[in-house]
Amino acid sequence: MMRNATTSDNTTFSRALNELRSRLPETWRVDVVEERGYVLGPDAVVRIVGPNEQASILTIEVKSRLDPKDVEPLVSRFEMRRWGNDDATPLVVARFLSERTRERLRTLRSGYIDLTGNMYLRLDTPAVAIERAGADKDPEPMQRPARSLKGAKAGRLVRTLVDFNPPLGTREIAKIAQIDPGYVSRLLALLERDDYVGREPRGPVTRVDWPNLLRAWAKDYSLDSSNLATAYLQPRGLPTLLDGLREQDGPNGLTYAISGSLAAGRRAPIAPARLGVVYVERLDEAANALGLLPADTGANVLLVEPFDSVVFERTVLDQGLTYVSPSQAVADLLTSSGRGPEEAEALIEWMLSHEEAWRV
Amino acid sequence: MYSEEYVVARRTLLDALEALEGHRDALVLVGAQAIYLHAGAAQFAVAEFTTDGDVAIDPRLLSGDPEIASVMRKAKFFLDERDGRQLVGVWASMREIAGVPAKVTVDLLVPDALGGAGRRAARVPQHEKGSMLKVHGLEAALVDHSVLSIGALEATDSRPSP
Repeated sequence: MMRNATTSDNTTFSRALNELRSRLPETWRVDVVEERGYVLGPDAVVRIVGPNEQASILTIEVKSRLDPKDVEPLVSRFEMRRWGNDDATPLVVARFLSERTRERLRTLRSGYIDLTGNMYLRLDTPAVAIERAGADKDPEPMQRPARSLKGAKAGRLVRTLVDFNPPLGTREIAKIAQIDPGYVSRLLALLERDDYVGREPRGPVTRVDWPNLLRAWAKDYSLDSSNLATAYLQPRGLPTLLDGLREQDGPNGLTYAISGSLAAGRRAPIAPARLGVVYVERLDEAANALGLLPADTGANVLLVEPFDSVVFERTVLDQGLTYVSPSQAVADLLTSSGRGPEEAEALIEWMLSHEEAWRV
Repeated sequence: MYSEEYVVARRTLLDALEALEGHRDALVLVGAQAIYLHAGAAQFAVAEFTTDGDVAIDPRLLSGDPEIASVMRKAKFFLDERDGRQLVGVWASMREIAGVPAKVTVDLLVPDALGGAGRRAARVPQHEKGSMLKVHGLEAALVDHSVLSIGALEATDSRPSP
């Protein structure tokens, strides 16, 4: 399903249409044949009618943004090249299109109009050749989509903001989290707007509301769906699972980190652990090494291949066992079923009163 | 063998029930611990209950003496705090679970319909404001309940298991 014909897209579309009309002779017509949302295919179909009623069909895609890599899949689609029995010319309309995106569009014989004045359209009948340069830089870069905390990069950034004591500069954060500073700066702007972080004007992050930042992350992240998780049975129970993990100490041992109830219970026990949640690098290898059986029902172990290796960073070693950092355990528990969310809140409470014990 | 969490949860709940002895007829154990008493252990990968205990109070059966907040404090419970603010009706007690210091809480709850004016704290004459929390949906527990014995889960506790 295409879901890009929002109200603002409609505005973008009508403004772009006015731009196009203003570039053509007054005797020409630009008729909207079809305009639709929430269906596959172009967002609108427009007919340009020139002298002697010669006409061309434009299939129009309205995008809130379009990255260079997404150009080819978009404008090469059959629906963009044909309309009924007629050949059609794709035309992409957006608030802003970058130089790389515009170049790709031209190469693929697609037209484009952006609201900063960039415009390109070539038609044979009626003969049209419009080329106009607008802005080369996005005038409102804030609208680029660092809007959610979905994905591995956001996860790394959140973990960094929570785990390290401020002040933290943008470059420092980018270096620790190993993500690009541009993304850090966009996401920080979002987090600052929502008051999860406070910073000096053009300066470092000086304050992080980490409990609420973790809760916000848990809205976009989830232990089950962000990672690859599979349920297993350790027939002899969780103590045996832990014994097996202790044996992984050494150069040939598994890389693992315990999360969930087992991690929370070390600090803020409020319910017995009934499910052992363990991050591993490879499910099959780990299940084998730990003597776990596949289980559709009655599982007591959840092995998880992580969304990102950050779950193995800043782990805690305790009595021969490796645990994820408290911040990761909170995010995992907040998004778990059963008593998980309550356990997460109890762990947050412990973290609030013991910041010196876990924050770097 | 019971998990240490359950042993401590039960011990704390019994301490609270003992402290509230004079009001026994006005108390109804609710929440996951009540379900556990009825249904017993389950073979799920989910804990049956947390250490948090929930007790509903029927203010119509409550006399003014003993005063609830003072008997709870005498039993070494204190009103819990979050973000520096005192919580309503959440009575905490510091315990130790498998060597880890843990706060175990017992919530004293009054059904909304009987909680008087006010948004969160139940207004019960002669009892300290803030000692009981108003909650929606507990009314039925005051009407439909049964008597069960609750004993300790550890041999060293003299309060016997049924």
